[in-house]
Amino acid sequence: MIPRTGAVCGGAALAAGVVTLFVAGISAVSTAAALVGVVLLAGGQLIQSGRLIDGASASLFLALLVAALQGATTTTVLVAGGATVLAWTFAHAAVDLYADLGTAPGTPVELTHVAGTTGLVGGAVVVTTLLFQLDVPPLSPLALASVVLGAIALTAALRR
Amino acid sequence: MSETHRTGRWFGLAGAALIAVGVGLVGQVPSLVLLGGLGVTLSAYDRVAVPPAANVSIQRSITPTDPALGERVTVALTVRNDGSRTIPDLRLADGVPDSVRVVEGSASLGTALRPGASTTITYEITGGTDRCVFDPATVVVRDVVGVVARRTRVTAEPDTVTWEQPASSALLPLVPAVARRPGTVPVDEGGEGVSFYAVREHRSNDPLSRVDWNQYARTGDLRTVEFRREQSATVVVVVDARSAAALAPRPDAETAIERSTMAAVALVEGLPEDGHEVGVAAYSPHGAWLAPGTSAAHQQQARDLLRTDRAFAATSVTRTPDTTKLIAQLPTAANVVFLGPLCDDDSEALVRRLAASGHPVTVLSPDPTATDTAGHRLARLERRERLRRLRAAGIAVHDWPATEPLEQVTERAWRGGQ
Repeated sequence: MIPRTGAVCGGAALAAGVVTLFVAGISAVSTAAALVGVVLLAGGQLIQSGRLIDGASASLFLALLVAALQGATTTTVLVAGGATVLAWTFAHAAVDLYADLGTAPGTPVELTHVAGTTGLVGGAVVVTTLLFQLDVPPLSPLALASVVLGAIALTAALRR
Repeated sequence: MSETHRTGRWFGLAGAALIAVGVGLVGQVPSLVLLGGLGVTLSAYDRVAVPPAANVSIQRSITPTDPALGERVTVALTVRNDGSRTIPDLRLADGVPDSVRVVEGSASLGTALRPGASTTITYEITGGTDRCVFDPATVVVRDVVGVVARRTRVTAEPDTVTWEQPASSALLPLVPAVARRPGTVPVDEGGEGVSFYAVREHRSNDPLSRVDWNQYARTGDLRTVEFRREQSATVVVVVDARSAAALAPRPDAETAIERSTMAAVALVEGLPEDGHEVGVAAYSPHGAWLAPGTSAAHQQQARDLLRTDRAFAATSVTRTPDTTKLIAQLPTAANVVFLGPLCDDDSEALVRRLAASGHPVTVLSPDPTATDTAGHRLARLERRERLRRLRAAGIAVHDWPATEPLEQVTERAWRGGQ
């Protein structure tokens, strides 16, 4: 049984996992990987295991990579990516809330967390999708990768 | 003082972004490189996010303010956001004293608070035996995603609850020991006293008040009435406070240790009234000892020891107590009142050793067993068998069911039932 505290986050995590399953499940391999991810996600919450949730998220991410390699559209990849991040975050939040609060009431925290994180990740997905659709001089993948790697380097230099 | 720490919730996101970029480059898939961009954006948030200020005030209300011993106390904790920013994730744990138990509700809360908003949690505690001081409440606030947290401790007033001791006193019929000073423990020997023992032939130096005048009027023979002689005793109350005795029939019920300690306090109050000297000892890995005495100061010392010493509180230490030392401390032929649930063989062995060492032993055993599962029923049967064996060995054993007040048990004991 999923404990009462963390149920909202847990449900949201499963919903996000299912979104990844439907969006990224464009082939047998990606569907299978996403399905494994969703099952592990549910199992991880049942036994309150952070590692299992990490494994579930890795499986969803794998489904996403396979889907992208098999020709999924950019929007599909970004939406599935955002949903994977949400599933991972919500599932960890559910486990963490239960560990902190036990049976104490925590629904306001859960609702705020789900809404706020969805807004943040969803906003990032929308902005990234819109940026891609701007028809500025088309960048080669290598140039795009250079930009991303540069951004990673800059992020790493941000305050810890 | 508050401390900030990263929760590591998005640890690994940047690595996943790099993998996406790498696969995108190798597979010539721009969308994966873009996905890497999304990962980097979120990682950047992970790095720059700051937790909201933990600018909260907490008010505690305690009802009733002067509870009687054993009474439940309702604690209401109101937390208010005094800052100017919304706190999206606030987790609060009240600093409930170790010596009390939360029996209803929860002393923790998770909530989100707008500026100026407040929320209240209510819970009930019990099990305190004296003055208990709450620790400051622990407050943890996080950003909306939960990647960074700030922890602080907030003091809430009032922070003290004192369970008033009605100073209930109790007496147990003690097992007779060798004759010492006159007192109230009946010995199987005629002499001065109040209850009739026998009639014997008159001797010339017998006091006139003890001549059986009725007999003289009927027969003309002078005979002397003897009364049961009573003496005061040296009593040591031994409380079983090992982890094996921290048992209760229900999670919210009093443990056998709490009931034993309560009974010990009552005996310490009651026995000196009859002239007995009372000492206190703990059958616990921590050990505690107070030699017998009768003065008011000694009585206070015994009460304080029982209420505050860690040896009389539930412990997680499972080390076997030093019974040899415990027995060696007892004065010769001292009456021992053993208070314990007798749910394991070690406590039975101790009672037998005490009796074998020449101490008259009276056992008052709070019953912590339940009947809801087969295992519990088996434990109940084992305990009853243990009690039966001790009675068979000539030890006075008084069973104290969880539903009965102490007075009822002592009354029954005086009437001679077990």
